[in-house]
Amino acid sequence: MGITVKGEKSYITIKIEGEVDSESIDGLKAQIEKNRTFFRDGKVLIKYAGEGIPCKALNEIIGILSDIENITVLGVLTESIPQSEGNAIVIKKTLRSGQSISYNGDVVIIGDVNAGAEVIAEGDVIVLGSLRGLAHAGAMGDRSAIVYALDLSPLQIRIADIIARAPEHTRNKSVPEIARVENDSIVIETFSHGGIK
Amino acid sequence: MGKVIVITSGKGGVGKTTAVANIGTALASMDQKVALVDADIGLRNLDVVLGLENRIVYDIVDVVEGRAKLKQALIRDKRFPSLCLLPAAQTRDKEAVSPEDMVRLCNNLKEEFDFIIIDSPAGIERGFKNAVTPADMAIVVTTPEVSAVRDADRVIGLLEAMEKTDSKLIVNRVRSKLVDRGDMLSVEDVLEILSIDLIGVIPEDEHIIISTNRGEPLVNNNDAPAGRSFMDIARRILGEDVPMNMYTEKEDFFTKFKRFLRWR
Repeated sequence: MGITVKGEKSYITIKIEGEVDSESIDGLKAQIEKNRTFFRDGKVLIKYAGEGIPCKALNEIIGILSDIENITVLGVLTESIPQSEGNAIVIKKTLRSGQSISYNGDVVIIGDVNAGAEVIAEGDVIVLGSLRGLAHAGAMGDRSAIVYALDLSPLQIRIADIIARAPEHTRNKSVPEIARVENDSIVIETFSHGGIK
Repeated sequence: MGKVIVITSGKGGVGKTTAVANIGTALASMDQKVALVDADIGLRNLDVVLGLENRIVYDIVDVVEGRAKLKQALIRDKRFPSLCLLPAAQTRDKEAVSPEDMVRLCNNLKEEFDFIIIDSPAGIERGFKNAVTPADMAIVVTTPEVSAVRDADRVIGLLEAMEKTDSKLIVNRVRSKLVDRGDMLSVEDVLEILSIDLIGVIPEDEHIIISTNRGEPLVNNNDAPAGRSFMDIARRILGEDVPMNMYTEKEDFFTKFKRFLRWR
Protein backbone atom coordinates (compact mmCIF):
# COMPACT_ATOMS: atom_id res chain seq x y z
CA MET A 1 0.00 0.00 0.00
CA GLY A 2 1.15 3.50 -0.79
CA ILE A 3 4.08 4.95 -2.62
CA THR A 4 7.73 3.98 -2.34
CA VAL A 5 10.68 5.67 -4.02
CA LYS A 6 13.77 3.66 -4.91
CA GLY A 7 16.97 4.51 -6.74
CA GLU A 8 17.99 2.07 -9.47
CA LYS A 9 21.32 2.12 -11.36
CA SER A 10 20.43 4.81 -13.86
CA TYR A 11 16.94 5.88 -12.90
CA ILE A 12 14.55 6.29 -10.04
CA THR A 13 11.39 4.23 -9.64
CA ILE A 14 8.26 5.43 -7.95
CA LYS A 15 6.25 2.36 -7.08
CA ILE A 16 2.55 2.66 -6.39
CA GLU A 17 0.73 -0.19 -4.74
CA GLY A 18 -2.99 -0.54 -4.22
CA GLU A 19 -5.20 2.44 -3.51
CA VAL A 20 -3.57 5.85 -3.43
CA ASP A 21 -4.95 8.31 -0.89
CA SER A 22 -4.10 11.96 -0.39
CA GLU A 23 -1.92 11.02 2.60
CA SER A 24 0.51 9.01 0.52
CA ILE A 25 0.54 11.75 -2.13
CA ASP A 26 1.43 14.28 0.56
CA GLY A 27 4.09 11.86 1.83
CA LEU A 28 5.61 11.65 -1.63
CA LYS A 29 5.50 15.42 -1.96
CA ALA A 30 7.36 15.87 1.33
CA GLN A 31 9.93 13.24 0.34
CA ILE A 32 10.59 14.96 -2.96
CA GLU A 33 10.85 18.38 -1.31
CA LYS A 34 13.40 16.97 1.14
CA ASN A 35 15.52 15.35 -1.56
CA ARG A 36 15.21 17.80 -4.45
CA THR A 37 18.86 17.30 -5.45
CA PHE A 38 18.34 13.56 -5.62
CA PHE A 39 15.60 14.00 -8.18
CA ARG A 40 17.21 16.85 -10.15
CA ASP A 41 18.35 15.80 -13.65
CA GLY A 42 16.94 12.35 -12.89
CA LYS A 43 14.97 9.88 -14.90
CA VAL A 44 11.83 8.54 -13.31
CA LEU A 45 9.87 5.41 -14.01
CA ILE A 46 6.46 5.05 -12.42
CA LYS A 47 5.41 1.50 -11.65
CA TYR A 48 1.90 0.56 -10.75
CA ALA A 49 0.67 -2.74 -9.38
CA GLY A 50 -3.06 -3.18 -9.15
CA GLU A 51 -6.35 -3.15 -11.00
CA GLY A 52 -7.03 -0.53 -13.67
CA ILE A 53 -5.14 2.72 -13.89
CA PRO A 54 -5.23 5.33 -11.11
CA CYS A 55 -5.42 8.32 -13.47
CA LYS A 56 -6.05 10.87 -10.72
CA ALA A 57 -3.08 9.77 -8.60
CA LEU A 58 -0.81 9.61 -11.67
CA ASN A 59 -1.82 13.13 -12.62
CA GLU A 60 -0.96 14.40 -9.17
CA ILE A 61 2.40 12.61 -9.08
CA ILE A 62 3.37 13.92 -12.50
CA GLY A 63 2.27 17.38 -11.36
CA ILE A 64 4.61 17.21 -8.39
CA LEU A 65 7.49 15.91 -10.50
CA SER A 66 7.09 18.63 -13.09
CA ASP A 67 8.17 21.19 -10.50
CA ILE A 68 11.66 19.71 -10.43
CA GLU A 69 14.23 21.02 -12.89
CA ASN A 70 15.29 18.82 -15.74
CA ILE A 71 13.42 15.73 -14.71
CA THR A 72 12.39 13.10 -17.26
CA VAL A 73 9.51 10.72 -16.77
CA LEU A 74 10.51 7.60 -18.67
CA GLY A 75 7.04 6.17 -18.55
CA VAL A 76 4.38 4.41 -16.57
CA LEU A 77 4.51 0.66 -16.17
CA THR A 78 1.31 -1.13 -15.35
CA GLU A 79 0.65 -4.77 -14.79
CA SER A 80 -2.91 -4.69 -16.03
CA ILE A 81 -3.44 -4.13 -19.73
CA PRO A 82 -5.56 -1.05 -20.27
CA GLN A 83 -8.78 -2.15 -21.97
CA SER A 84 -12.48 -1.73 -21.69
CA GLU A 85 -12.99 -5.22 -20.31
CA GLY A 86 -15.93 -5.46 -17.95
CA ASN A 87 -17.13 -2.08 -19.11
CA ALA A 88 -20.29 -2.96 -20.98
CA ILE A 89 -23.86 -1.81 -21.04
CA VAL A 90 -26.74 -4.22 -21.60
CA ILE A 91 -29.92 -2.88 -23.17
CA LYS A 92 -32.95 -5.11 -22.97
CA LYS A 93 -35.22 -3.55 -25.56
CA THR A 94 -35.58 -2.98 -29.26
CA LEU A 95 -34.00 0.24 -30.49
CA ARG A 96 -36.42 1.92 -32.85
CA SER A 97 -35.88 4.49 -35.57
CA GLY A 98 -34.56 7.73 -34.12
CA GLN A 99 -33.23 6.13 -30.93
CA SER A 100 -29.53 6.07 -30.30
CA ILE A 101 -27.12 4.56 -27.78
CA SER A 102 -23.55 5.65 -27.36
CA TYR A 103 -21.28 4.22 -24.71
CA ASN A 104 -17.61 4.28 -23.81
CA GLY A 105 -17.37 0.49 -23.68
CA ASP A 106 -19.09 -2.50 -25.21
CA VAL A 107 -22.80 -2.39 -25.98
CA VAL A 108 -24.96 -5.51 -25.77
CA ILE A 109 -28.50 -5.24 -27.06
CA ILE A 110 -31.07 -7.90 -26.28
CA GLY A 111 -33.59 -7.01 -28.96
CA ASP A 112 -33.45 -5.58 -32.46
CA VAL A 113 -31.78 -2.45 -33.77
CA ASN A 114 -34.22 -1.17 -36.37
CA ALA A 115 -33.37 0.89 -39.43
CA GLY A 116 -32.91 4.52 -38.43
CA ALA A 117 -31.56 3.63 -34.98
CA GLU A 118 -27.86 3.83 -34.12
CA VAL A 119 -25.47 2.18 -31.71
CA ILE A 120 -22.11 3.81 -31.13
CA ALA A 121 -19.62 2.00 -28.90
CA GLU A 122 -15.97 2.56 -28.08
CA GLY A 123 -15.78 -1.21 -27.78
CA ASP A 124 -17.75 -3.99 -29.45
CA VAL A 125 -21.38 -3.96 -30.54
CA ILE A 126 -23.28 -7.17 -29.86
CA VAL A 127 -26.89 -7.45 -30.97
CA LEU A 128 -28.88 -10.47 -29.83
CA GLY A 129 -31.52 -9.86 -32.47
CA SER A 130 -31.62 -8.25 -35.90
CA LEU A 131 -29.28 -5.39 -36.67
CA ARG A 132 -30.92 -3.26 -39.36
CA GLY A 133 -29.75 0.17 -38.26
CA LEU A 134 -26.30 1.69 -37.94
CA ALA A 135 -23.62 0.17 -35.76
CA HIS A 136 -20.30 1.87 -35.06
CA ALA A 137 -17.84 -0.22 -33.05
CA GLY A 138 -14.47 1.07 -31.84
CA ALA A 139 -15.77 4.59 -32.32
CA MET A 140 -12.66 6.13 -30.77
CA GLY A 141 -10.39 4.39 -33.25
CA ASP A 142 -10.08 0.84 -31.95
CA ARG A 143 -9.82 -1.27 -35.08
CA SER A 144 -9.89 -4.50 -33.11
CA ALA A 145 -13.53 -3.89 -32.21
CA ILE A 146 -16.20 -6.13 -33.70
CA VAL A 147 -19.87 -6.03 -34.55
CA TYR A 148 -21.86 -9.18 -33.88
CA ALA A 149 -25.53 -9.87 -34.55
CA LEU A 150 -27.82 -12.87 -34.76
CA ASP A 151 -29.07 -11.36 -38.01
CA LEU A 152 -26.58 -8.92 -39.44
CA SER A 153 -28.39 -6.89 -42.08
CA PRO A 154 -27.50 -3.25 -41.46
CA LEU A 155 -27.44 -0.55 -44.09
CA GLN A 156 -23.97 0.39 -42.96
CA ILE A 157 -21.34 -0.85 -40.54
CA ARG A 158 -18.57 1.29 -39.12
CA ILE A 159 -15.55 0.01 -37.23
CA ALA A 160 -13.11 2.69 -36.06
CA ASP A 161 -12.48 4.86 -39.13
CA ILE A 162 -13.67 2.31 -41.71
CA ILE A 163 -17.13 2.37 -43.23
CA ALA A 164 -18.75 -0.50 -45.12
CA ARG A 165 -22.06 -0.60 -46.92
CA ALA A 166 -24.28 -3.64 -46.97
CA PRO A 167 -23.97 -5.76 -50.11
CA GLU A 168 -26.57 -5.02 -52.78
CA HIS A 169 -27.95 -8.53 -53.05
CA THR A 170 -30.42 -9.47 -50.37
CA ARG A 171 -29.68 -12.53 -48.36
CA ASN A 172 -32.47 -14.68 -47.09
CA LYS A 173 -30.43 -16.58 -44.59
CA SER A 174 -30.40 -15.38 -41.08
CA VAL A 175 -27.35 -16.73 -39.32
CA PRO A 176 -25.18 -15.15 -36.65
CA GLU A 177 -22.46 -13.10 -38.27
CA ILE A 178 -19.51 -11.08 -37.15
CA ALA A 179 -17.91 -8.04 -38.74
CA ARG A 180 -14.30 -7.11 -38.10
CA VAL A 181 -11.41 -5.28 -39.69
CA GLU A 182 -8.92 -7.15 -41.82
CA ASN A 183 -6.36 -5.36 -44.01
CA ASP A 184 -7.99 -1.96 -43.76
CA SER A 185 -11.42 -3.19 -44.74
CA ILE A 186 -14.41 -4.67 -42.97
CA VAL A 187 -15.00 -8.37 -43.50
CA ILE A 188 -18.13 -10.23 -42.49
CA GLU A 189 -18.10 -13.90 -41.70
CA THR A 190 -20.55 -16.38 -40.24
CA PHE A 191 -19.98 -16.91 -36.58
CA SER A 192 -19.63 -20.59 -35.95
CA HIS A 193 -18.88 -22.47 -32.77
CA GLY A 194 -15.35 -21.81 -31.68
CA GLY A 195 -15.57 -18.06 -31.94
CA ILE A 196 -13.29 -15.65 -33.73
CA LYS A 197 -10.41 -17.21 -35.61
CA MET B 1 -65.64 6.53 -17.99
CA GLY B 2 -64.70 6.59 -21.64
CA LYS B 3 -61.51 5.41 -23.29
CA VAL B 4 -59.27 7.75 -25.28
CA ILE B 5 -57.74 6.24 -28.43
CA VAL B 6 -55.26 8.13 -30.60
CA ILE B 7 -54.76 7.14 -34.22
CA THR B 8 -51.33 8.13 -35.41
CA SER B 9 -48.66 7.20 -37.96
CA GLY B 10 -45.75 9.60 -38.33
CA LYS B 11 -45.99 9.57 -42.11
CA GLY B 12 -48.78 11.42 -43.85
CA GLY B 13 -51.22 9.89 -46.29
CA VAL B 14 -51.31 6.38 -44.85
CA GLY B 15 -54.97 6.56 -43.85
CA LYS B 16 -55.21 7.97 -40.33
CA THR B 17 -58.25 10.13 -41.00
CA THR B 18 -60.01 7.37 -42.95
CA ALA B 19 -59.34 4.99 -40.07
CA VAL B 20 -60.70 7.47 -37.49
CA ALA B 21 -63.86 8.09 -39.53
CA ASN B 22 -64.54 4.41 -40.19
CA ILE B 23 -63.64 3.00 -36.78
CA GLY B 24 -65.68 5.81 -35.22
CA THR B 25 -68.77 5.09 -37.30
CA ALA B 26 -68.32 1.35 -36.81
CA LEU B 27 -68.30 1.77 -33.03
CA ALA B 28 -71.27 4.14 -33.22
CA SER B 29 -73.20 1.57 -35.29
CA MET B 30 -72.62 -0.85 -32.40
CA ASP B 31 -74.42 1.55 -30.06
CA GLN B 32 -71.31 3.05 -28.51
CA LYS B 33 -71.20 6.77 -27.74
CA VAL B 34 -68.25 8.03 -29.76
CA ALA B 35 -66.58 11.45 -29.97
CA LEU B 36 -64.11 12.04 -32.79
CA VAL B 37 -61.53 14.77 -32.14
CA ASP B 38 -59.60 16.28 -35.04
CA ALA B 39 -56.21 17.34 -33.64
CA ASP B 40 -54.86 18.36 -37.05
CA ILE B 41 -55.31 22.08 -36.43
CA GLY B 42 -54.67 24.12 -39.57
CA LEU B 43 -55.09 21.14 -41.93
CA ARG B 44 -58.44 19.76 -40.91
CA ASN B 45 -59.83 16.85 -42.93
CA LEU B 46 -61.91 14.69 -40.67
CA ASP B 47 -65.02 16.87 -41.10
CA VAL B 48 -64.73 16.51 -44.87
CA VAL B 49 -64.34 12.73 -44.76
CA LEU B 50 -67.38 12.51 -42.48
CA GLY B 51 -69.37 14.91 -44.65
CA LEU B 52 -69.91 17.34 -41.77
CA GLU B 53 -67.90 20.31 -43.05
CA ASN B 54 -70.93 22.56 -43.62
CA ARG B 55 -72.11 22.18 -40.04
CA ILE B 56 -69.04 23.56 -38.26
CA VAL B 57 -69.78 26.61 -36.12
CA TYR B 58 -67.25 26.32 -33.31
CA ASP B 59 -64.03 24.32 -33.23
CA ILE B 60 -61.53 22.87 -30.78
CA VAL B 61 -59.62 26.16 -30.40
CA ASP B 62 -62.85 28.01 -29.57
CA VAL B 63 -63.44 25.49 -26.80
CA VAL B 64 -59.90 25.69 -25.44
CA GLU B 65 -59.90 29.50 -25.49
CA GLY B 66 -63.32 29.66 -23.86
CA ARG B 67 -65.35 31.20 -26.70
CA ALA B 68 -67.64 28.18 -26.87
CA LYS B 69 -68.81 25.41 -24.57
CA LEU B 70 -67.79 21.87 -25.46
CA LYS B 71 -71.44 20.95 -26.13
CA GLN B 72 -71.80 23.81 -28.60
CA ALA B 73 -68.78 22.78 -30.62
CA LEU B 74 -69.64 19.07 -30.86
CA ILE B 75 -71.38 18.20 -34.14
CA ARG B 76 -73.83 15.32 -33.94
CA ASP B 77 -73.86 13.05 -36.99
CA LYS B 78 -77.46 12.62 -38.09
CA ARG B 79 -76.81 9.22 -39.68
CA PHE B 80 -75.32 7.83 -36.46
CA PRO B 81 -76.91 9.65 -33.52
CA SER B 82 -74.32 8.38 -31.01
CA LEU B 83 -71.44 9.83 -33.08
CA CYS B 84 -70.07 13.34 -32.51
CA LEU B 85 -67.23 15.31 -34.07
CA LEU B 86 -65.11 18.00 -32.44
CA PRO B 87 -63.60 19.70 -35.49
CA ALA B 88 -60.16 21.31 -35.71
CA ALA B 89 -59.65 25.00 -36.40
CA GLN B 90 -58.53 25.77 -39.92
CA THR B 91 -57.28 29.33 -39.41
CA ARG B 92 -54.92 28.55 -36.53
CA ASP B 93 -51.90 26.31 -36.03
CA LYS B 94 -50.83 23.53 -33.65
CA GLU B 95 -49.49 26.00 -31.09
CA ALA B 96 -53.03 27.18 -30.35
CA VAL B 97 -53.56 24.08 -28.18
CA SER B 98 -51.27 22.58 -25.54
CA PRO B 99 -51.05 18.92 -24.43
CA GLU B 100 -52.54 19.99 -21.08
CA ASP B 101 -55.54 21.54 -22.87
CA MET B 102 -56.07 18.23 -24.67
CA VAL B 103 -55.97 16.26 -21.41
CA ARG B 104 -58.56 18.60 -19.86
CA LEU B 105 -60.74 18.39 -22.95
CA CYS B 106 -60.62 14.60 -23.07
CA ASN B 107 -61.38 14.31 -19.37
CA ASN B 108 -64.58 16.26 -20.01
CA LEU B 109 -65.45 14.12 -23.04
CA LYS B 110 -64.79 10.91 -21.08
CA GLU B 111 -67.76 11.64 -18.81
CA GLU B 112 -70.16 11.70 -21.71
CA PHE B 113 -68.75 9.24 -24.26
CA ASP B 114 -67.62 5.61 -24.33
CA PHE B 115 -64.85 6.25 -26.84
CA ILE B 116 -62.91 9.37 -27.73
CA ILE B 117 -60.92 8.86 -30.92
CA ILE B 118 -58.27 11.46 -31.72
CA ASP B 119 -57.07 12.00 -35.28
CA SER B 120 -53.38 12.82 -34.96
CA PRO B 121 -51.61 14.99 -37.51
CA ALA B 122 -48.63 13.61 -39.45
CA GLY B 123 -45.23 14.40 -38.00
CA ILE B 124 -43.75 14.08 -34.52
CA GLU B 125 -43.87 17.67 -33.32
CA ARG B 126 -46.33 19.68 -31.24
CA GLY B 127 -49.45 18.40 -33.01
CA PHE B 128 -48.38 14.80 -32.37
CA LYS B 129 -47.75 15.52 -28.67
CA ASN B 130 -51.14 17.22 -28.40
CA ALA B 131 -52.88 14.19 -29.88
CA VAL B 132 -50.98 11.51 -27.97
CA THR B 133 -50.73 12.97 -24.45
CA PRO B 134 -54.38 12.34 -23.40
CA ALA B 135 -54.55 8.84 -24.96
CA ASP B 136 -55.12 5.60 -23.04
CA MET B 137 -54.43 3.55 -26.15
CA ALA B 138 -52.64 4.24 -29.43
CA ILE B 139 -53.37 2.74 -32.82
CA VAL B 140 -50.48 3.15 -35.23
CA VAL B 141 -51.41 3.07 -38.91
CA THR B 142 -48.87 2.06 -41.54
CA THR B 143 -48.93 0.90 -45.13
CA PRO B 144 -46.71 -1.96 -46.35
CA GLU B 145 -44.09 0.47 -47.62
CA VAL B 146 -40.57 0.77 -46.26
CA SER B 147 -40.85 4.52 -45.63
CA ALA B 148 -44.18 4.25 -43.80
CA VAL B 149 -42.90 1.36 -41.69
CA ARG B 150 -39.79 3.37 -40.81
CA ASP B 151 -41.92 6.28 -39.60
CA ALA B 152 -44.26 3.96 -37.70
CA ASP B 153 -41.21 2.53 -35.95
CA ARG B 154 -40.12 6.03 -34.93
CA VAL B 155 -43.59 6.82 -33.62
CA ILE B 156 -43.77 3.58 -31.61
CA GLY B 157 -40.43 4.53 -30.06
CA LEU B 158 -41.80 7.96 -29.12
CA LEU B 159 -44.97 6.38 -27.69
CA GLU B 160 -42.81 4.08 -25.55
CA ALA B 161 -40.82 7.09 -24.36
CA MET B 162 -44.08 8.81 -23.39
CA GLU B 163 -45.02 5.65 -21.44
CA LYS B 164 -47.94 4.84 -23.69
CA THR B 165 -47.64 1.07 -23.46
CA ASP B 166 -50.94 0.05 -25.07
CA SER B 167 -50.10 0.36 -28.78
CA LYS B 168 -51.74 -1.57 -31.61
CA LEU B 169 -51.02 -1.70 -35.33
CA ILE B 170 -53.18 -1.35 -38.44
CA VAL B 171 -51.60 -2.33 -41.75
CA ASN B 172 -53.53 -0.37 -44.35
CA ARG B 173 -53.78 -0.61 -48.15
CA VAL B 174 -52.49 -4.16 -48.47
CA ARG B 175 -52.60 -5.52 -52.01
CA SER B 176 -52.63 -9.30 -51.78
CA LYS B 177 -51.61 -9.83 -55.39
CA LEU B 178 -48.48 -7.72 -55.01
CA VAL B 179 -47.64 -9.46 -51.75
CA ASP B 180 -48.06 -12.88 -53.38
CA ARG B 181 -45.72 -11.82 -56.18
CA GLY B 182 -43.19 -10.65 -53.61
CA ASP B 183 -43.43 -7.05 -54.77
CA MET B 184 -44.89 -5.71 -51.53
CA LEU B 185 -44.00 -6.16 -47.88
CA SER B 186 -46.31 -8.70 -46.28
CA VAL B 187 -48.10 -8.10 -43.00
CA GLU B 188 -45.66 -10.60 -41.44
CA ASP B 189 -42.68 -8.57 -42.70
CA VAL B 190 -44.12 -5.42 -41.16
CA LEU B 191 -44.84 -7.17 -37.87
CA GLU B 192 -41.32 -8.58 -37.73
CA ILE B 193 -39.88 -5.08 -37.85
CA LEU B 194 -42.38 -3.29 -35.62
CA SER B 195 -43.08 -6.13 -33.17
CA ILE B 196 -46.32 -4.78 -31.70
CA ASP B 197 -49.81 -6.33 -31.63
CA LEU B 198 -51.84 -6.25 -34.81
CA ILE B 199 -55.42 -4.99 -34.51
CA GLY B 200 -56.37 -5.10 -38.18
CA VAL B 201 -55.36 -5.43 -41.82
CA ILE B 202 -57.17 -3.27 -44.40
CA PRO B 203 -57.04 -4.26 -48.06
CA GLU B 204 -56.59 -1.65 -50.78
CA ASP B 205 -60.14 -0.77 -51.79
CA GLU B 206 -61.52 1.66 -54.36
CA HIS B 207 -64.63 2.10 -52.23
CA ILE B 208 -62.50 4.13 -49.80
CA ILE B 209 -61.73 6.78 -52.42
CA ILE B 210 -65.38 7.07 -53.35
CA SER B 211 -66.57 7.18 -49.75
CA THR B 212 -63.96 9.76 -48.72
CA ASN B 213 -64.91 12.07 -51.56
CA ARG B 214 -68.62 11.74 -50.85
CA GLY B 215 -68.20 12.18 -47.11
CA GLU B 216 -69.93 8.90 -46.33
CA PRO B 217 -68.13 6.38 -44.13
CA LEU B 218 -67.84 2.90 -45.56
CA VAL B 219 -68.71 0.65 -42.71
CA ASN B 220 -72.32 -0.02 -43.59
CA ASN B 221 -71.39 -1.15 -47.06
CA ASN B 222 -70.97 -4.90 -46.87
CA ASP B 223 -69.58 -5.07 -50.40
CA ALA B 224 -66.56 -3.02 -49.43
CA PRO B 225 -63.68 -5.20 -48.16
CA ALA B 226 -62.15 -2.22 -46.32
CA GLY B 227 -65.47 -1.47 -44.61
CA ARG B 228 -65.76 -5.02 -43.31
CA SER B 229 -62.16 -4.89 -42.05
CA PHE B 230 -62.91 -1.66 -40.13
CA MET B 231 -65.98 -3.31 -38.57
CA ASP B 232 -63.72 -6.14 -37.39
CA ILE B 233 -61.33 -3.63 -35.82
CA ALA B 234 -64.21 -1.98 -33.95
CA ARG B 235 -65.24 -5.40 -32.60
CA ARG B 236 -61.68 -6.05 -31.45
CA ILE B 237 -61.64 -2.68 -29.67
CA LEU B 238 -64.78 -3.80 -27.85
CA GLY B 239 -62.91 -6.90 -26.71
CA GLU B 240 -64.34 -9.46 -29.11
CA ASP B 241 -62.01 -12.13 -30.42
CA VAL B 242 -62.33 -11.74 -34.18
CA PRO B 243 -60.03 -13.76 -36.47
CA MET B 244 -57.93 -11.79 -38.96
CA ASN B 245 -59.68 -11.92 -42.30
CA MET B 246 -58.33 -10.64 -45.58
CA TYR B 247 -61.55 -9.65 -47.35
CA THR B 248 -61.55 -9.47 -51.12
CA GLU B 249 -63.85 -7.89 -53.63
CA LYS B 250 -66.63 -10.18 -54.76
CA GLU B 251 -66.19 -10.82 -58.47
CA ASP B 252 -69.19 -11.14 -60.74
CA PHE B 253 -69.22 -13.63 -63.56
CA PHE B 254 -68.18 -11.07 -66.17
CA THR B 255 -64.94 -9.98 -64.45
CA LYS B 256 -64.10 -13.58 -63.70
CA PHE B 257 -64.53 -14.40 -67.37
CA LYS B 258 -62.39 -11.46 -68.43
CA ARG B 259 -59.64 -12.54 -66.08
CA PHE B 260 -59.91 -16.06 -67.44
CA LEU B 261 -59.40 -14.78 -71.00
CA ARG B 262 -56.39 -12.67 -69.98
CA TRP B 263 -54.89 -15.61 -68.14
CA ARG B 264 -55.00 -17.73 -71.26
